[in-house]
Amino acid sequence: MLRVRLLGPLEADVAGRSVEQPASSRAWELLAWLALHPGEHPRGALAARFWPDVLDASARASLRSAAWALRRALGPEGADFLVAGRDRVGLRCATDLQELDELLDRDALEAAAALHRGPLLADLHQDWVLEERDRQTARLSAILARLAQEAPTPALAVGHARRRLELDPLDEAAARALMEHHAANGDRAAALAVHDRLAERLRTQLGLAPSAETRAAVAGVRSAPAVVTEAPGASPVIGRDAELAALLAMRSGVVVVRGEPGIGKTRLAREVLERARAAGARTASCAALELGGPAPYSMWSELLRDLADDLAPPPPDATWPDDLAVIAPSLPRRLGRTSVAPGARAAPEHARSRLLEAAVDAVEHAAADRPLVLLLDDAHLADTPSLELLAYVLRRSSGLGVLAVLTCRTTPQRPDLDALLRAHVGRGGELLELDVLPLPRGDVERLVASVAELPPEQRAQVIAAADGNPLLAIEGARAAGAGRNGPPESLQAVVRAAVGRLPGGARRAAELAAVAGRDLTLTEVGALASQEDVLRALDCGLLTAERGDFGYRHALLRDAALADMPEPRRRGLHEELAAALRGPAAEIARHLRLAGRDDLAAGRLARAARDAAAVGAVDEAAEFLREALELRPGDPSLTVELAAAEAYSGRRLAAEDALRTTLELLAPSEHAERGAVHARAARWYSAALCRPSETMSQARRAIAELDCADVVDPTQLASALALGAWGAAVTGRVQDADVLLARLATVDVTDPDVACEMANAHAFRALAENRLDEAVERFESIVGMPGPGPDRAYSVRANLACVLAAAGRHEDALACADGGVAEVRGMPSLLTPLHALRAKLLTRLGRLDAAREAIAQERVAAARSGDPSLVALADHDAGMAAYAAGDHAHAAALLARGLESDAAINRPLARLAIAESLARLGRAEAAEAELREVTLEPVGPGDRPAALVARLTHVQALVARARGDEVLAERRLQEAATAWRRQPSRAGGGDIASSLVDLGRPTLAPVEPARELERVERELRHAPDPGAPRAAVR
Amino acid sequence: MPPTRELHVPQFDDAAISAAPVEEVWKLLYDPARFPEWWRGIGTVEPRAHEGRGDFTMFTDGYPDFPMPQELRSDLSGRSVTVSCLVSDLVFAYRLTPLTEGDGTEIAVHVELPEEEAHRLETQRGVVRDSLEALAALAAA
Repeated sequence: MLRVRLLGPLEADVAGRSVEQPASSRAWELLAWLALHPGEHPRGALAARFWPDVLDASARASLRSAAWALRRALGPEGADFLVAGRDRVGLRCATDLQELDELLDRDALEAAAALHRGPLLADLHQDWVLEERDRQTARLSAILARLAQEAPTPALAVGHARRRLELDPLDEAAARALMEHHAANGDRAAALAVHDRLAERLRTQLGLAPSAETRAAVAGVRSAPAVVTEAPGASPVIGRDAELAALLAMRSGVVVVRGEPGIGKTRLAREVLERARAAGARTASCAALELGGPAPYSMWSELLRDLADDLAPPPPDATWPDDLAVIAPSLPRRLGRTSVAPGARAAPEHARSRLLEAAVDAVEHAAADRPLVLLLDDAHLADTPSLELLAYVLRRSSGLGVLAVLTCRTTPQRPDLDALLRAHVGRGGELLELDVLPLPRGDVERLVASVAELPPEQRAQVIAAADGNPLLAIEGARAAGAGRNGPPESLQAVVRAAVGRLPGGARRAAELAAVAGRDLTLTEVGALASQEDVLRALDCGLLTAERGDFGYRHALLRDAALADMPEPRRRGLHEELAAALRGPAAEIARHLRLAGRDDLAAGRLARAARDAAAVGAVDEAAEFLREALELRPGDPSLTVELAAAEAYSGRRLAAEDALRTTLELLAPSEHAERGAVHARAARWYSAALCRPSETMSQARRAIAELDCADVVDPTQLASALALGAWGAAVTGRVQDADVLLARLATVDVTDPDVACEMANAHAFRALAENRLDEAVERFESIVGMPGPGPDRAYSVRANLACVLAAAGRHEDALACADGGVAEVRGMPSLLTPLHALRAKLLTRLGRLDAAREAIAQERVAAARSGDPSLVALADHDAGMAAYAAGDHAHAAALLARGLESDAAINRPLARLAIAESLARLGRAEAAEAELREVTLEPVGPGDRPAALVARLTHVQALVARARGDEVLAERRLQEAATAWRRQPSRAGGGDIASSLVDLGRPTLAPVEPARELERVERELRHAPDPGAPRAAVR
Repeated sequence: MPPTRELHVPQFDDAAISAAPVEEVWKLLYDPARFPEWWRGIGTVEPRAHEGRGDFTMFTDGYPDFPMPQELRSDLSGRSVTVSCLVSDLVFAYRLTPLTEGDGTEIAVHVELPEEEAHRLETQRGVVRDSLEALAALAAA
């Protein structure tokens, strides 16, 4: 049996044996013509058709030769198939065209369409072939039009209509049909893209505009209301009813959808989003960058951009759009703002705090009028700061109706994500973890049937190959349905076949989308490829322009496209992307590295580190710098930045290592550079590490180097002098401080930051000699300086309040702290210590109710910050307030909780307060054990050791009294009174400075000797002590 | 490779047992105003810095007009308290350990002198011995 396949490249086989194409092309053409025209044909007519320009005898001779060659190609049975009589020639065979006719007679349209492996006789180009091909194309077009019309789902209809348009891209009727089906499928963007592509083709190829009918159709699409059905262009969700029901039952909290690649996590999550939106919720989504090493908060950057498009403009005084511009620069514009007001410069930890708060404000704004559903796709690849921000937002948004949907692969493990989820549950948050399993065979069958009608054998092959994986099932069915060489053996084969059929420009667009590692915005892709190429690439069915972004429908498809790409090609595309993209420096650096351009990548990584530090992501900044140093080892401009990043991460030893390396890399003669490095170190020793002694040391080295330099930056010198003077004053080296300040007075200081450092140094110099009024004056001068950042506003206000309190001006101190609260509003890490300070001031003023309120505010701010050490501090402060109010049971419990942490609290004093509370509660033994613990606590100068001794002695008296030993109690009280009398009556400026350095936060003098002595004397007189339980402060 | 100079720090250790509980010894060690009661050779103590230096200022019997600012610190474990003289660079690191039986306390001290004060090593041994005994007795009184 001879079988000839005409629908596609010409192929023939005899009893399953493939017929080799003969050397004579006329013989092969003859086979095609005879197969296409069944029956026997007169030799003369046939010869004249094939050889019209020669004499009849010659034509007949050529026909004989061709028939002979064909018969030989058909093999030993060739004479049975090729009937070549004296007058007539014909071919006995079965063809796919005959099969097509039979199928059409039975109205089996899907199978009829599937018979087409390509254009009729795709590898022949004679005129008669082109005419026949046009006819056959028209037949197939009609078949596909009917299939689209009768398709059970809009998605299936789109597939048929797209294939129809592929037959003739200038066919306006086919384009209109595809537009209509896209619109019916809820994908208006795709519908409009079809029109744009058609218009472009008509213009460039025919010099025509679309017809009136087409213009009317596109106008209809534009004006039609949005239809919310299932995800545009998406396959139906089949076999996931139980999962979907569980997901839709969640109203707030976190949902984690886990599973293997291609199992349907994203499809399921998107379905949840679509249904939530249809039910009135606001939604936004983002996906992780697949290249690795993303910019910090990159997921939120995308999420916020997506969210902004659906948000009402916030009130003009809302600062969050501008604060979030550091990670999403277009956000203010998207929200209708014409300009961005950048936030004042802040130290990294405060920049981070401001960013987190702004994100919370944004989410609150988005969730104010309707539920909010956020999708973080591929969270297993998320950058750590994005997960931290999610944790922060979740903690703050409980009760707001915010649902976060995360999709994750089962590997790699993400302990930070697991910790986030545990913490969320620990706070009482709702969590649903859903493992998406392979689909049962029955569901895969339904899924395949929903995508394409396949012959039973092909369908079985597709189902078996999918092995329960929906993506493989869908892509296998699509490929088989499109007639691409039978069912593919792998996803890679699907992608290879689809991308391989694209013309050069479109293939390049598809390859760029694979290499990008994320969806490209249409602006980005517009800079890299022509619209025509992008639209053609979309036609291959693997890519989508959903939501205005261009990329693969699934990460696995992208991976498959990548896997098929030769390495040199891939590198070239990465380099093209690096040059064209305007994304974060971290992303550009990644493309440069993948392009093999490490020489350029180091610079981008350094820039990425600066960007990361600017949003408080100092760990990530250090990581970028370490990577840059691997590419450019021995570059001091990188090591000096690394030192700062390590310092702001709190890793002193690593910072000092990097500092040492930097100095080793600089020649001794490079005085200006060495001076700049030391000046930089002085600043991070002062600000990030709070080590005054090292600050002074680095400042002095900076000054010595700068003094040897040919050209000196006066601002740098002034900064070194000011920081050195501060360090000297705080460590008690007042003469050194005076020398530095005297020199500083000769330098013309114009930089506002240095002016602040100078005033600060003068203030601490005054404090060192207890000149409180002068210190107040100096700090007040900083308050009046223009444009201080929130951290500077905080520190100067806090310091000023402490000094005012030390001077006995408690009301002024309180007003100052209140002013600080107003200035740092929205930054919990700064609000917490300020409220703590207010609470102490209010307690001293005897306004216990207000103190209680301040403590409550401190605890709220600490909880908002999410910083365990701030929470512990708040517990400690609440405990101290309870102790001051005589609420000893609560005091002991809260203080003990505070001591469990490693927060910077005055530990011996806290233990003494616990011991006293226990003694007053009559628990003598527990109190005594606590006193023993006091002797094991570290004691710093800010703790005023002698005062601790006096206090301990006082508590010993209370223990004795609790035991009924009045004689011993009396003796201890006398001893305590003597100890208190030896103390200076008021805390000196040096004590305040010491406390600041020890605890790293503003604090009042921990004890007031006069007040303490009064208490002891009252005990001696057996008068009731105000320390007895009085009012609860919690 | 340049030859390295081995640093030799003059130093010694001593210890005493007090019958007093650790809190009583601790009170004496952390209260500089009471140093003259047990530290041999210390005449007076002012509980304030001298010209901004140190935590308190000692005056010895031998040089009653010569202020010697001191720093008092404990290590992070809280078990060791160090008194450092900012003039002479003498360092006294005391360590208190409650005895396992009874209420007593072992008082151990490690003393370091600057190289230029090496000639005073034996004198300091005697001073420290006497002072430890006085401290142990005073705490138990």
